[in-house]
Amino acid sequence: MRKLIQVVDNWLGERLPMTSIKEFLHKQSSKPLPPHTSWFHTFGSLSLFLIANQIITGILLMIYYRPTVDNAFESINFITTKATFGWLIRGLHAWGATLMIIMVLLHMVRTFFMGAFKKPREMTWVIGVFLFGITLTFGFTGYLLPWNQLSYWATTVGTEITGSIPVMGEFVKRLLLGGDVIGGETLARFYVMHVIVLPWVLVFLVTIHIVLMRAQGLATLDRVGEEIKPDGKNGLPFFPHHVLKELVLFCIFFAFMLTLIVLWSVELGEKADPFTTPAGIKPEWYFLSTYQLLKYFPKLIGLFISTIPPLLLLLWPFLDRTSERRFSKRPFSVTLGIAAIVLAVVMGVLGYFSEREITFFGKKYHIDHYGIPRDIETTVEGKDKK
Amino acid sequence: MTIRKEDAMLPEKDVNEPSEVTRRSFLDLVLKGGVVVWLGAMVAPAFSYLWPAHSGGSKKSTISAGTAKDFGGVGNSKMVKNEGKPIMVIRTAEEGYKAFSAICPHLGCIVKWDAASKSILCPCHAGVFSMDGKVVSGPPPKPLPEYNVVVSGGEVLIKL
Repeated sequence: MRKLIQVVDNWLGERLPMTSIKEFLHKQSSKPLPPHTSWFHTFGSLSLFLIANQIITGILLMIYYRPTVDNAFESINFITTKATFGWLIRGLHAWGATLMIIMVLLHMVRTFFMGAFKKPREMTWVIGVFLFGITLTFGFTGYLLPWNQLSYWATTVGTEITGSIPVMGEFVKRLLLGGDVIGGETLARFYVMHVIVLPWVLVFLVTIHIVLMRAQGLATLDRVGEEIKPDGKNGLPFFPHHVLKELVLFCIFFAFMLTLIVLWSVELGEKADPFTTPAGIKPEWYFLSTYQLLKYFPKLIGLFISTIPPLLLLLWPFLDRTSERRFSKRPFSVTLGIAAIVLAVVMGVLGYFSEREITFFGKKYHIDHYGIPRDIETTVEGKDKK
Repeated sequence: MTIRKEDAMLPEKDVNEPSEVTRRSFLDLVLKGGVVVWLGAMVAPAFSYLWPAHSGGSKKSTISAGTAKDFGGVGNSKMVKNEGKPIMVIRTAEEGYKAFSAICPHLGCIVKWDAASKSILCPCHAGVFSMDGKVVSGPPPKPLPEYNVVVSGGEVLIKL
């Protein structure tokens, strides 16, 4: 084996500057990380692992999937019920999508609260925000592909919201749908976006993101302009220390994914019927907070308000120009960040429970469109009295 | 502001003097312009290709919703397809019909006729419309678009 490696090494050495390549790789693997590097710093690597998972399982799904109105649902049904381990591949892809959004969000939250987006890492942050947007677009385009009732109507609601954007809305909607209504053209467009366009954009941006991260190194908790570069004495070696930490987490995370797939298999539901909308249709969980927020305002004002959070995210490194990175010394940004997270969670929960009936302490409530619980029994009694 | 020594020694330029166009700068401009035009010529067909193609054939002026028998009685409704879009026809009287686009103007869900409450309901966000297509409650921003209906030779025809 060693001989074979030696032969390959010699062969490559005669054609490539192997010494420089080896030196570069050694330098990268032994690069010391800041001493505060913790488990929270593994969210980025886990996002990368999930991207790899989505690409591999996505390629496998493409082998049986047929992106046409007549075959999409049936082919997914075939993958889930007939193809060997098809349920596992589909489960890994569907759960992987949800977990990827969670992981990218956690990675952003960590970067925000540790002030790692500040100078000189503004570009890395901006690219990261774009990557988050691409992850959501992946979710949106992939959700339609099974062509079931839930995916069809959630996409209808999503594209209708796009259509209400002033001036450009109808134009963008028609371009997205490939016509006036969701049909075969929409499915083909979403499929091409999902399996060709978005993956290439994602890989390109992830590469720049990682190159920037490696070139600038992980941010320390020192003030901007006063960063002490970690060295062999105070730094933590990337290899093997941090890599081992990532590997441990990767194993736990993979086991967690498999558990989710076994316990909560991804349902396919009924085939899409463009003439029957099922009751209480809602978008996927990651769009629920925006969806709920839009209910409280007239369409245009709602759309304007919903563009503020992504814009703020994108521009935050240029707005927050203080030198401090420690969150205890950034009360304003930290409060704003926590408030944004609380608002998103509250809106998401309200969006999830709205237009549903729930039983709470033995009483039945109907949660209305705006998320306000109405006591069903009292309402009925009141009506009876009348 | 500090002025570099070399700059200070340069001869002063008359700002009114027209800038000299050399053959090199002219060719440079032509080349750059050519690249822009070429890019435009490449992008325009690609974009036109992406823009949804219009379905061929002449558009119908009316479509049939069947006969009175198909409705089964006053107070019943029927869905009719028109170029992939649903139209709801309600039989309001022995010889009276009303037709509306069944697409909710709020977020595009398909509305349903509720014979018991004599109203049109949207299953997505609890929008309620009257028998005239007007918004009674819920988030829909406008009434359902209405179509004229005529009965000719026993056939219910929707005018598009």
